[in-house]
Amino acid sequence: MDLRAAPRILTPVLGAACWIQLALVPLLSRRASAVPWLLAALSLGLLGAGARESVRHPERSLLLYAGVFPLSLAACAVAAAGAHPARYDAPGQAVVAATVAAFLAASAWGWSGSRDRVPAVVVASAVSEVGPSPPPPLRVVGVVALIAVALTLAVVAPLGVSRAASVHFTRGGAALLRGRLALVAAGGLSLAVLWTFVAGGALLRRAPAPARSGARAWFYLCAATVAFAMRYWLDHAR
Amino acid sequence: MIALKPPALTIAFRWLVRVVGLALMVCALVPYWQALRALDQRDYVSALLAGFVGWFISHAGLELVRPESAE
Repeated sequence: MDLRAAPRILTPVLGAACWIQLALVPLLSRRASAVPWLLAALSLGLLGAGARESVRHPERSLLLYAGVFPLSLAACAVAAAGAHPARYDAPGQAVVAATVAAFLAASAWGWSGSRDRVPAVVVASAVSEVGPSPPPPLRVVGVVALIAVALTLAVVAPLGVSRAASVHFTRGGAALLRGRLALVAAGGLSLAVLWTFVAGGALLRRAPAPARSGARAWFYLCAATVAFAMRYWLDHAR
Repeated sequence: MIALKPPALTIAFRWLVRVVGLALMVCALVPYWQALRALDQRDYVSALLAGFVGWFISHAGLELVRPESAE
């Protein structure tokens, strides 16, 4: 089996497993109304779109897998929870954490080194003595760091919505549970996914580091401003 | 072909950008410290968001410190 095709199969399978645990199980256990079911169908459709785009447009597929699909899943989970957020016991949290970590790792694996396919004409030329570039020396460190961050986030996020854990939170945390969960969870989750991929991508990239990009620096500063605003609002919601 | 040297103003501007980048990387220590303090107070979500702020600021600084062209 060609290992290059493995992420294209693993990622939608693991994404479907995340969808079952984080969307389908709460929906079935709670007799949710129509809106959460529609959001669940939307997130499943986004996962399928990501799988379809993974062959021709890997970057578009990454945006769907790592950006839009987690956001829609978070929206579905929040809509299904209503006034009573879902609680996961310790084994359940471990299973969810492992599934989310595996999904993120498979998405990163499928994205690293891939490029959009464009039509090209191959012209015969002299044989080159230069072989493929070696893998980056910190690839193992990058994979371990990626899995550790994803596990940490996947465990902290369910703890954040757990009613049992709210006694350890400040009033800012209680405000989180009272109904502003949707905005902070969606924003925090998108930041978490972006953080994980950019941090891991730097270590997993085969090519040399890119040149300075002012646009990228502005993007980081805008993201920092958004994160600061979210923290300021949360801390002053007490 | 001899590479042309950029004008002095351009060179000065590039060094200024690098100094700003270095300053951002140093300033990023403040939200990281706040994240550790928030963790100590068991304010997990606030600590996570402070960590994000620190990470984004430090990487904005890192981006500004990079050379003009790829290695």
